[in-house]
Amino acid sequence: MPPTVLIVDDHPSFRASARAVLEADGFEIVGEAADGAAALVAVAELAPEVVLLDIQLPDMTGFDVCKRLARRNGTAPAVILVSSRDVSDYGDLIDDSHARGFVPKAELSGEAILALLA
Amino acid sequence: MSRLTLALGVALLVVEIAASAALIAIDGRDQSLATTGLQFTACAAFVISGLVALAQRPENRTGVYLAATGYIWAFGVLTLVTNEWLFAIGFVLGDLVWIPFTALVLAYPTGRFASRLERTIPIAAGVLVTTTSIFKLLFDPTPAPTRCDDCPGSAILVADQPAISDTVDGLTSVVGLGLIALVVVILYRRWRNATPASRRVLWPVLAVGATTLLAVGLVILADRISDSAARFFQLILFVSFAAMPFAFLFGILRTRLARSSVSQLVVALDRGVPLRDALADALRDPGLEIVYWLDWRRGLGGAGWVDARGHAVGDPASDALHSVRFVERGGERVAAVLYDPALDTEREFVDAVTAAAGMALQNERLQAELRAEVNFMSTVTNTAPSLLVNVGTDGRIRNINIAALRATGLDDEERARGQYFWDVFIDADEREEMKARFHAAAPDFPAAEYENVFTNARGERLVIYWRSAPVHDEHGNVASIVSGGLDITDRKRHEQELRASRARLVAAADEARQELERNLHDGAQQRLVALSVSLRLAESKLAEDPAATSSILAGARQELAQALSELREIARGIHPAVLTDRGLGPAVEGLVARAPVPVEVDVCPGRLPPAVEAASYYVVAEALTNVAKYSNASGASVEVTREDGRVVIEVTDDGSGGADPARGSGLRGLADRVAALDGVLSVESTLGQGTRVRAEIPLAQE
Repeated sequence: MPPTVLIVDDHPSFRASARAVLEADGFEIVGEAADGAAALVAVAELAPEVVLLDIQLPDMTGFDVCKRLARRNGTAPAVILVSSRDVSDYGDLIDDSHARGFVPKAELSGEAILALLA
Repeated sequence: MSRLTLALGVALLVVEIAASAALIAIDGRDQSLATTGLQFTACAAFVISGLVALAQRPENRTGVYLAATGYIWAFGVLTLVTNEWLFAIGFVLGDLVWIPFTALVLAYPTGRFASRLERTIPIAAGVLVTTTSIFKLLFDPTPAPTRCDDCPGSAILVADQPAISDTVDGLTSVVGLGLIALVVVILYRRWRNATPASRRVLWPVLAVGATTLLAVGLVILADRISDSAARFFQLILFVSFAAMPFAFLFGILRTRLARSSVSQLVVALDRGVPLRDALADALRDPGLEIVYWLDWRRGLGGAGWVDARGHAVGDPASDALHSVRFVERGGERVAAVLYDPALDTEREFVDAVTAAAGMALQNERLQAELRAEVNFMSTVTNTAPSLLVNVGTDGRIRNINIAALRATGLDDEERARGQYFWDVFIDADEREEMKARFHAAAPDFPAAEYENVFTNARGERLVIYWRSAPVHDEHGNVASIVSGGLDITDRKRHEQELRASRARLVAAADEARQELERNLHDGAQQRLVALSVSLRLAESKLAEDPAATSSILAGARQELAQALSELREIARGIHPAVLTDRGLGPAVEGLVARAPVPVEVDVCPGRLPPAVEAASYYVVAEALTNVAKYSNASGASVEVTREDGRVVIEVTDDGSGGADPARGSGLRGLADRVAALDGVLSVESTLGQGTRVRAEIPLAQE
């Protein structure tokens, strides 16, 4: 059974593309959020198994959102960080975060997510 | 004049008098002895005083005129004899006395005639009296002037026609009266034009001479009216004529008396009377001047003359109004005394007085030299743009130059002098620290430099760079501290402005790059990401759902087109290619084409230097962006003109106005960009009256 996914990104065009790709791969998209604050609310409400989290959000960074999710009581969703930038742009930040992994936006696919979740 | 000449002169007189006396004794008329004695005495006075004057000043001919008067007059006694021939000789020769007498009066005191007219007058007088005498002897049987019974007749009578001689006498009398009037006028004018010192010498001789000549005139007139009046005036004439040598001697005596003023001068100088006043007083010449010779006049260039105040003056030798007495000491030129030329007749006196003042003159010269130096230094210090302050070891200002005074904001040097320098040049909150530093530097006050920021009496904030150094007295102690300061307020402000402007330019560039990165990231990059995801999706659906794939690809193509358009927009924002390729006009046309309101454009043709072109372009671009964003304008205009070697860019709109150039980084960044090219950006934006952005950029750079 593919996991439930929350897409967090401030660009609607990316949210739409990601939804199309992941749904095509059999993921269930339970919701979308355009910024960090909305993401935290959506996680509390929808309890997704996976959060596809853009690093550059208008109100806070994806790393901040990730840290807050990890500090929550109860089970924390698996966080997959995405960005249109290259992984090298972030140095150690991704490894040091509580996220499960990082996928460049251009390479997003269900396969890539499943690989990180495995 | 030698003693021999003097002795001969006296001997000649003695012989003449003795011979005449002998003749009178043998052949004299009644009562003639008393008159003769009197006349001989008077003649002797003339001759002796003339010889004395000649001995004193051989080059001065007044002595000759005096002595000649005496010798010739002595012949006059021959008219007192009864012999007709002797009478005729005395009659003619005696009257010739008027030649040396008028010469004496006119040439006194120098012995030189002032003009050709004056030189002619004595000769004319001689011709006149001789003519009268000879006509009388030829035509008048009783030629003697006063009617007398025992007077001899003429020895050379040719005809008993007294009418002829009377006519000639009448004519010569008229001419003679005219001549007398002329001489009196000359004497009067000489008196009037004379300086006080000159009058002192002139008056005795002039007064006696004028009186004598007037008496002659009165005798001539009275002779025709009444005998008693004629006798009376003849007496006056005789007395005043005989008084001449005494008047002459009186003048000399006055000079001698004046010698006592040398000792008075010494006393006056000792009492501290200013040298010039003391000398003027001693020589009785209120117009006297003293100038000093300096071997080196700093600032005036080379050697030359200065007055007592140290100011340069011309060469005294070329002074037409004064005579000059140069003063030397130890073979060295010291000074020159400029005095009234009338004193030239008393040169020994002038010499004595200036010699007495020699030491004082030398001292005064040193003072003049010092003053010349001080004048020069004060001109230098007051012309210098640097601030110069001399401070005592107590911290009080002793001297301050004009530049420093200006910096204090005080208008009066007296208000600065005597104040503690920290009260004038240091802000209140730093004063105690400065006082402590100053006292800590005592007693050596080593040379130092420091920068000082203070607010002056006018409330101006100044930055001064100071350097100070101690001035030592003869014992090696610090007497005062001289500080030289440079007002670097403007430089500091420019530096600050430049730093701020550079920082803003760097910040603006950083901001522009960030914005560019953001635009790329948020725009084209996102679209390309989406495109990539779409293509991946299309790829996965290609086999199972061709219809969906087709729709995804169509969306992808649209995404790609938008990404391209956004990239174009960004590239144009970085630098419009049209500006580089075709210049400001077409580039501005492009901006105007994208503006949301109608814009009138007038851009001067031709290319500009690239930096100016770019700055102009961004002025128009930013201004039009502001028009679109904030102005609510219904129209705008862009005008770019070239005038007087600069480009003027003006963008105006009819919008709401009220734009504040200080706020918002756009206009500030433009101002910096324009300022970097030495240009000026100004914004007029009154609320409700639209906005005018105007930039002027000079074209001189390239």
